[in-house]
Amino acid sequence: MLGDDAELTTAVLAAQDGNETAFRTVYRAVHPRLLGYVRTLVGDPDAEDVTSEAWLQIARDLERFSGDADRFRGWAARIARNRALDHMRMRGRRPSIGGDETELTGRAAESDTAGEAIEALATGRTLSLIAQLPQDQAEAVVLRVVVGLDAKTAAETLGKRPGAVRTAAHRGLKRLAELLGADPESVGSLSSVPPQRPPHREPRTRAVTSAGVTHTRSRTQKDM
Amino acid sequence: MADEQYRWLDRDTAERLLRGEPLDGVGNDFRDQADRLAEALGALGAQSTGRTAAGAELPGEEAALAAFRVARTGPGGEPAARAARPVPRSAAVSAAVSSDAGLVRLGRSPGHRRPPSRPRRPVRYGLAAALAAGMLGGGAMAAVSGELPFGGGDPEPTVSVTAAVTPERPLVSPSPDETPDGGAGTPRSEGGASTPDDGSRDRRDEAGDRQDEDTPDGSDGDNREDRFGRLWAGARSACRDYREGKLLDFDRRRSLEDAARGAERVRKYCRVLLEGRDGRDGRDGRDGHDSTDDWDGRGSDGDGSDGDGGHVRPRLFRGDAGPTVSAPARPPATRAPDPAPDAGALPADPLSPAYS
Repeated sequence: MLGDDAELTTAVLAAQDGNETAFRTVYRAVHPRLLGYVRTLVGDPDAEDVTSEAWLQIARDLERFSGDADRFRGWAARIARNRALDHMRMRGRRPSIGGDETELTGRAAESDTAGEAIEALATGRTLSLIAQLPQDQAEAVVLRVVVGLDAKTAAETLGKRPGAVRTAAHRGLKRLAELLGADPESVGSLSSVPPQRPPHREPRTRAVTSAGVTHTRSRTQKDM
Repeated sequence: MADEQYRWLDRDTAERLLRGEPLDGVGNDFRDQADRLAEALGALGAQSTGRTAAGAELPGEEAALAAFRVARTGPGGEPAARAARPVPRSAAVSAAVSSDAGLVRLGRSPGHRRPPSRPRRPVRYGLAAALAAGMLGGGAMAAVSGELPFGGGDPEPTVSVTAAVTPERPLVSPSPDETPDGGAGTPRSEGGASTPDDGSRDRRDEAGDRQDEDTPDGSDGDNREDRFGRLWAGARSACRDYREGKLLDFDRRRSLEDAARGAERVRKYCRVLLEGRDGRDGRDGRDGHDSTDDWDGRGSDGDGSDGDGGHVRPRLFRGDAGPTVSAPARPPATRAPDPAPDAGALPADPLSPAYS
């Protein structure tokens, strides 16, 4: 992760200089994270639009930013958050995610490989659980895990005290553990037997899921 | 919530989970719970990063890039002109001028104003971009490093190339060699460098070149105005920094000192520059002022603006001696009221935060 951060930091600087390739690099590094975060706030059909709006602002205000990769993610997340909150205000509520299985499978269907499909499902399922958390807990967890912020930056993004965010994240994890324990369809559990699943969820792919998930987790989760 | 069931999930463990670190010290009883949680978080995070192939364009990327380009060039900009291809000087100038249309024309009618919430810096970036594109003929870095567009240079096209020209740095450098590569601006700075080359050819020639090339924007005078506007802006920027006590790098300081005709005069120069100016409304071609950026006594505005009651024009480093900054030529009465002494606050100033 440190290497990736250095690359992102450099790309941000270069993009501020006007380098379009660097901007693309920034986009590709950050967009999935923002999208994941926004999904927990506004739900799937709208998340892409809201994130697009965020990018317009990010692109426009890019020169205003200064800092390293972590701060950049936090800054971008803040912009995305504001767009999402605006959206939520208009819509009146925070939607649940993934209550509809078709949403999840639809997303998985867009994936190119079976592995990606599985990941998408796993992600979607976890997101649906996250969406059941109180918003502050969900955000605290997602900003850390999905956006990859460290505790301090997550707090800045939320505009809250670090202690409050830490507590919210802690509670969120407990709640998530609870939901997982209660959920027979828990995500990629090693010990549980997978219940009836859409056809592509084979034991073999489940192993792929675990391996893939584990692998990517160790690779992707931010190590600060 | 039954906390006792999750006693294993203490704050430290939670923090490790959030960071994706491996868990130790979780008893076997709870190991499966911990693993389940860890995997769920892994799934959550996996989509964020691992999956995207390095070379794959993402959904929405083009739209974001378009916004990025617009932000750099301003409305009516020509991003293609600054794309990564070598831009010959005159074309660069044209591109710069046209791309800069929304930026440097101080005091345009509101219709030309940039959209709200455009912060100060992007405007500078656009400015820098335009400069980088070689408004004065593009080229290698010159006397002023990367920041100021002013400080023109010798009448001869002798370029005092200082350091490395990074294609991506938006140096305002009149030398013909510059290939501004989509680099639009030094980070948070506003001007590019200018070479002594700047004055190297008659401004009219450059304007003429631009005219031939492109100029959707109209007249000679416009182009010159624009150029002056940029020079002006660069000088003002340097002065602002100077007055704020920021450390100017060597080249910028030297340019400022040159413009002020002496280090000891910089303060006065800047004061007049920043406070004495009134012509923020750089109207295009309004003054039809001459190519000369000598200081004629009347001090026609550097930014193509209207009246200019004794403001200081950025002095270009020509071989000749220009008038000094010291004496405002016009009575203060001609000054338009400034909303703020700091040039940066002027509404029509593209550098102004009020522009948003």
